[in-house]
Amino acid sequence: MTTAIPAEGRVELRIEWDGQAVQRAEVRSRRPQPAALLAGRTPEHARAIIPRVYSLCGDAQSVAAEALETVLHGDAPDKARVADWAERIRLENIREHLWRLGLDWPRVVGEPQQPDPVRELLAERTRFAGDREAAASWAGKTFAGLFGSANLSWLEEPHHDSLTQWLEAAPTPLAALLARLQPRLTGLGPSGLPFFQAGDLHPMVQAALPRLRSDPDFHWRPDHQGQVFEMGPLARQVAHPLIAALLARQGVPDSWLRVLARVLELGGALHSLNRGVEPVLGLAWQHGGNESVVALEMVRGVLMHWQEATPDRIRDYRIVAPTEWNFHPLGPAREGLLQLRATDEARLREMVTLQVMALDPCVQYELEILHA
Amino acid sequence: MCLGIPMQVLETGEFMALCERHGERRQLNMMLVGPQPVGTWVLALQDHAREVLTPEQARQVDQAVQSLEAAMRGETDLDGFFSDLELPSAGGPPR
Repeated sequence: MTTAIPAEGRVELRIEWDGQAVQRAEVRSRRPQPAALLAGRTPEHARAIIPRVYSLCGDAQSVAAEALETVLHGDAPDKARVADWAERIRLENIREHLWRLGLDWPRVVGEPQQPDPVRELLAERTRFAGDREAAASWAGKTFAGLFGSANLSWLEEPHHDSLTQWLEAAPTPLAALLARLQPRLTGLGPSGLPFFQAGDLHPMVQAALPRLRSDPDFHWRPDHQGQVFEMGPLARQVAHPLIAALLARQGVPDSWLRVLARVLELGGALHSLNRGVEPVLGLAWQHGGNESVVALEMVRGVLMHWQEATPDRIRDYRIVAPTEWNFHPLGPAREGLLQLRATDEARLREMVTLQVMALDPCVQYELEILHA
Repeated sequence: MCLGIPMQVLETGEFMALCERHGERRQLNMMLVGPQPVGTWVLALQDHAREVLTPEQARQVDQAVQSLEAAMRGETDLDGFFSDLELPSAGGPPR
């Protein structure tokens, strides 16, 4: 087990288990906020400091900081700027999906890791952002390596049978991985919470502005109109024909659908990059008085940056990360934990690992099991 | 908001390398960056080296992470962590 470096931040999971089932579950996220680093500084300094602190999802964090600086005075970002942001976020999303599906999940189930696509994208991301032809070529090659050339109608249609056939034939390492994951993830981590939808973005930002001002804990326990949402790939893919059909059949989402949504999103993003389709960035902002807030859709869900500032200095700065929704004290992580059934503690711990990884693979957590 | 942590290679290996940051040691998977000579800085995400950093990049990211740790301890004088930026004092409220 890796020792925690304090600034990395961890989510605390505490469950009460009676040897058969989980009776109670608490989820607590107390991760570092950048306010102390930024208060008193200029917006330009915030733009320089934030990507250094959040170097992993640096594009999304940088774009949010840049967008916030742009809208500080009530100005809308121009189209070329938004297009540049959208491309950076798309490449970062692809990289994150490739990382989770090529490195993290194979390690968990003992399948060979597939580092080449991630390695190539990390090495070439600057070139790809400006060279569409090179990016398209790489995306086509990567798509073929992940999905092969079998009947892939399930990528766009509600064809569960073609998905099953693809998994059984296992023509690629990704298919082999998913064939092993499906039985382990099906039924795990169910949640009855609503999904955050693209149409919620503007209303949420409008409502969040006064909340961030008046509620010092909003960024730890966000809600929109009293409701906690699930965010991330499954929330974005809920209208995909295959996901919609599977959700209708099983009633509630589970860890398998969360991973499948990630696969569908990756396939769609590579396909659109290969075809030269412009990415669309979910982006909303609100400005009022001395405050501004920006929200954008990044790989794990909605990332929100808020700041209160005088014309040249930041007074307060807060970040609401997607993790604070998915690992909200009343969020989908808790919902899933409450449904865990296991008679063996090692099995219980394994189920928690799988469930957390499916919901948000970036999250590091500490699990405490209390024996009821 | 998982953070990347700069770590320096102490003992190299083809797939794993022993790396260190301020006395904290980790075995990092080097699959993404390949074998690296002793002294190389890498950006660590959990147990993986994600990319190779120049010493200057490593210093900037490390100081940013240190500043966050200092802020978590309640320290308020954080200007020294961003010595390459010309910073206005962050000590008091803005005028």
